[in-house]
Amino acid sequence: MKTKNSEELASRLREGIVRSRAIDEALTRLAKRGLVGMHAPATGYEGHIYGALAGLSPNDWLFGDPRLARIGLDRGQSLRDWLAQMLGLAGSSDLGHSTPGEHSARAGRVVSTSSLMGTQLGHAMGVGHAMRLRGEDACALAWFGPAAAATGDFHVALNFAAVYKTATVFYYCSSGDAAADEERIGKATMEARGTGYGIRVVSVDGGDPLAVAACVTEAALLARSGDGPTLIDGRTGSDPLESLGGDLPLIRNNLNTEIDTLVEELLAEGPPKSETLFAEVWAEMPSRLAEQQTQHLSHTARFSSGEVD
Amino acid sequence: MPTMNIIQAVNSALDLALGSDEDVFVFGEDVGKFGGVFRATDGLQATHGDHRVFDTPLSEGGIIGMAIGMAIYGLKPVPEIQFSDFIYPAFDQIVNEMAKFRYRSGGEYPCPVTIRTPFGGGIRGGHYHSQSPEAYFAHTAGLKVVVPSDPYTAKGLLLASIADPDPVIFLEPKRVYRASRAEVPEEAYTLPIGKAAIDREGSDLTVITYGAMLHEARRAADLLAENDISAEVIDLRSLVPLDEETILESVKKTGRVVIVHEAARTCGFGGELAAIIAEKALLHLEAPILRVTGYDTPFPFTLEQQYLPDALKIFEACETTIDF
Repeated sequence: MKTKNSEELASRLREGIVRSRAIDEALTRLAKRGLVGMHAPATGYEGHIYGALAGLSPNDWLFGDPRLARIGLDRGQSLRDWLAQMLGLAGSSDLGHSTPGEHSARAGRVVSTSSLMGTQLGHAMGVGHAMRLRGEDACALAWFGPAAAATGDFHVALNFAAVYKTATVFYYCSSGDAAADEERIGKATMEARGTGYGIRVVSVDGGDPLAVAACVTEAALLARSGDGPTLIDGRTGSDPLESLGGDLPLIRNNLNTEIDTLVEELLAEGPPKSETLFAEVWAEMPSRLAEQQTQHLSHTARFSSGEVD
Repeated sequence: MPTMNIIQAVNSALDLALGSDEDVFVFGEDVGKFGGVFRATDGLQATHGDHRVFDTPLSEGGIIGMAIGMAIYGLKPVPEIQFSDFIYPAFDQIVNEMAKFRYRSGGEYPCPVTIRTPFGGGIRGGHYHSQSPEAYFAHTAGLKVVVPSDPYTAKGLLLASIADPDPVIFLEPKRVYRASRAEVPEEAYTLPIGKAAIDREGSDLTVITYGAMLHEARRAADLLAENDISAEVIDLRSLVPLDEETILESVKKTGRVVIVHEAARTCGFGGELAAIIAEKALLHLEAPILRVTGYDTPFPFTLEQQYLPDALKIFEACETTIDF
């Protein structure tokens, strides 16, 4: 039965997915211009992303991978800052340090990731453990795919999470290509894997974002209440946007236009200042690094033309 | 003031940190109920509870991954890696994650983990209980590398490391865990990270070292004194950040340098020290900079005493530089 709340949620999810598709389109344009070196489209996976976000509370922490980088936008990050990070331009909150798609949005509890698949699973386990130690009514959710499921970090994170009953939700997204997934993790199902660790496992169809939201709501509730981690087996296949009523061209086109305008503004501001290269390595810059910064700034000032005088 | 060995000083520091800051957590393999294989955490679980001091599964990558999560959340984890030889399964988490969290997030996610780990040889531990991995970590931007040499520095530097806003690799010289004894204040105190100590003043040459090798350098300095050679001995205490000022002042005074560490010579931290001295004090040098180090072999079992630097090897190198 459809209720007003479920209709509102479906409408919100539909708009979120449409906006995500506009972002994919924009990133593809930027990549063709050589402005974004790396980006991972989320098209087809949005049910896992936006359904899960709808099932969480604002205090829950998020761990993704480059495909999930856009989640900061749903946790209060401005489109301008997000684009500045993707483009590595002045004004980005990560100072141009991160690889596109691996940045953070601390205010929204979005954690930066690395290019090493699976490493974020251990961090989500650690944050989930810290939440339990502190008694916070929150959990950590980490999305991951078949590549991460092949790593030792996957085993370690699930083993520790089971031992300490951490407040963690592990969300597996299959690729939608069963043969490709089998090349990475064999025939073992997520159900078999999770059960092997003594962790609760539930399956959900990523093509049904409302089902994902319900599934994550329950898993998060259990995690927050001290009942331990859940491994969600998210299947990728049918188009999640179709299940919600399809495209919203006006919203998609407007966001594309907004992104294009912002990109030109950001490009006009240029790259971050050279000093930012040396910032935030340590809380306090050691004299040895300060010396290197001085040498670098002196060199760049002398050879600003790119030629020997 | 009580007399402590290094184990007791480390235990005292952890006890004080746990007692004064509820964000501090101590964990690792056998650190809880058992109190650690070297007893460094003995009694801490009973005093502070099994949620503050706890045992972990045997997985270094898991221990450090969990510590990183706890640190970015806002806690101050102090994990123990039972032997520094076992730290390599956690190397990716340390180098690619812990060291880079602050930088890659533009300062949004500091990662103040203090990893305690015994290092160095001399206990008949063979390949996998004797290594000195400091150069790997000193090479990684974002980490601090701290090496106490005695009980006093162990307690003061460990408390400073736990209070530090950045990740610290805290290398404990296990060979002198119990052999080194000194008066140590019962109360909490810190020593500055990045400040070396002139352990012994001298005028003819400078011996630069850290960790357990400080004690061999002291014995070498005694032998040299019997031969009318005055050696100044510097205990670095911290490799990153490095106290260049103290090193260069001494080198400019003596003009002769011998660097001592247990780790293998090639790409060891001594090479970096030699380069700094060559860059900044070349015209003050009266002789080539010499290194007394472990050899470029895996750490041996039977012949470890031949592998390790000792007072006589240091003495010989000092003689060579004096005679140059």
